[in-house]
Amino acid sequence: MTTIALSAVSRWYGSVLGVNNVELTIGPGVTGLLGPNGAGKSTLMKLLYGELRPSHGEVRVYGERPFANPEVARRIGIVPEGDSFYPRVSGRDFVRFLMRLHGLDEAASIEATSRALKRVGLEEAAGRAITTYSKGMRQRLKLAQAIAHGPDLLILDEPLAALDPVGRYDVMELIRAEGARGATVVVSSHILHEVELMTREVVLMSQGRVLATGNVHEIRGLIDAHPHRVRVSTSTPRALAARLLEFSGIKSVSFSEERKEVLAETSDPEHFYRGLAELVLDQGMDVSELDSPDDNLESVFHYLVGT
Amino acid sequence: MPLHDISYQHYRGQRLSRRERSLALARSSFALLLKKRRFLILLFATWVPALVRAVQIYVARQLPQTPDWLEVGPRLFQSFLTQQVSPSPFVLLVALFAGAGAVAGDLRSGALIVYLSKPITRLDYIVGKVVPVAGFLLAITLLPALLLLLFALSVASDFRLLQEHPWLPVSIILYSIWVSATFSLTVLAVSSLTRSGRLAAAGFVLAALGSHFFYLVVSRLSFGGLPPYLSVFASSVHVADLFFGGDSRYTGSPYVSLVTTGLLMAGAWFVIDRRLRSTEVVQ
Repeated sequence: MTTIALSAVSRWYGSVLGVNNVELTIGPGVTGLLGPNGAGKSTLMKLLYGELRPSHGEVRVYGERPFANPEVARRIGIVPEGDSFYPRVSGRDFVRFLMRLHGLDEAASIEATSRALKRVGLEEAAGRAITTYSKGMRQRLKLAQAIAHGPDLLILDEPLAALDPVGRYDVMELIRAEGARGATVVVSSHILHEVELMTREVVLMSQGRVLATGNVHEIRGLIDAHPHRVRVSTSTPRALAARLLEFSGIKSVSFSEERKEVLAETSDPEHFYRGLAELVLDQGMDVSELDSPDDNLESVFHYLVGT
Repeated sequence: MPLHDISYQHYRGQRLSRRERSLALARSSFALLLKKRRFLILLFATWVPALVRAVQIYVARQLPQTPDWLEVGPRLFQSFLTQQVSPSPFVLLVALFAGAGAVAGDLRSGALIVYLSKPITRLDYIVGKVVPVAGFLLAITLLPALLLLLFALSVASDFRLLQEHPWLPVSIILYSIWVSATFSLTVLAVSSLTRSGRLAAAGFVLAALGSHFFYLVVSRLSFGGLPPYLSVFASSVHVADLFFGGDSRYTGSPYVSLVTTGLLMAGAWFVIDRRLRSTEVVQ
């Protein structure tokens, strides 16, 4: 099932290109939107929740164009990047007012507000003016107004920003729960390991383009042309390094007697792993630990953007 | 502060209509403004001319022979309403207080992005912002004028005023709405051009008073022969001639002033709409 479909979408700000010819589909569950500052993540999100109209191409959310479309907006909850509230009103009043804009009647807006504030842990501070909130509390408040009406699609721009480690963990739990119950959650972040903790489905962006989409491991498959690094812990690093040099696709091998490890770079990871398994099984080579430093989002991203 | 997992719930109740959602926006602005003591003091001050007019009506009714300047008729109501616009600064001040920060504040705080991500349209948003400003302007024009009319009828203990001028209530209503719409849309348009309420206030004052000052200077130089179309204040006052049928103190046709202020409103609406369309540029 497709929630979001972008077809050849571009968006210019005058002569500056925000997003460039993006083809993308996103379904239910959590999808991480990754890229450095200026990659076009926020522009893409604004296109999704209808703040912006594409300069070219078509954006469809639940089959409809989201730009200035209240029917789509009804199903969406957003956490924008910056602050988005009047500091002098209380957190409760702010969320309740937004629920009124969502069309909930007085009683329902009070109930939805109370439920959402409780869910993000702001129940006790709800009556205080937002100006007294810490950055983390403001972030939670933004999250509360996004989830209060029970949206089908959550678009969260850097929702983990300004949160302390416990707060990050809590919010990640909430995002995972929203994805698990069937909502479509698009979450942007530049803290890659945290995105990896929320989802394996990622969209990598750079300079307005979508570089890759899919599971982290699938993306890794796309970059096999690049050297794939493998760290092998062994009691005999020199001997193992010598044997690894015989493998096809090996770009470089280094070893450390002190750390008891070998670091290899290969352009043919499949052959490498098969050969290493044969060394262990057939020739009794000692291997205690195998680790690929590349198998995380950060290195995948750096490979793809060439940094 | 742990996050509490509460089972997911969709809202399945009756949803408010779009008009009610606009009114929710308006209500919020009303509530915020009414919390400001200085604004309440200003509102009370704007009613002082109405009290003076009430005394005038009472005195006029007590005198066996009413002099022209005390006569209770359309001219009195026109005079009261136009004085709220100019020379008294009440319409300007209330529009400033209620409207200068209305859109600018939403742009500065970023709340506009959240508002427009909700199921409301730009039209709903604009209506939600116009209603409180226009509402307060009506509260210092239409409301006291209608109360003065009721007072005049009650102290006269007959309906001769309405029998002689049956269109008077309609004139009061239409002119009050026209002036309120002109000033509320203009101040909101200026507000939408900046993220600072103070800058918007300064810009609005500069535009309104500047145009009036320019009109006065040019008018003086041309020995009073200049129509009032250059000035927002003078045009708004001139339009009253059309609604109340009084003798004009200005040269030129009040119809042109009506068109001028109508174009001003249309232009203001266009500016607000364009600014809301380009919120990302404003940001």
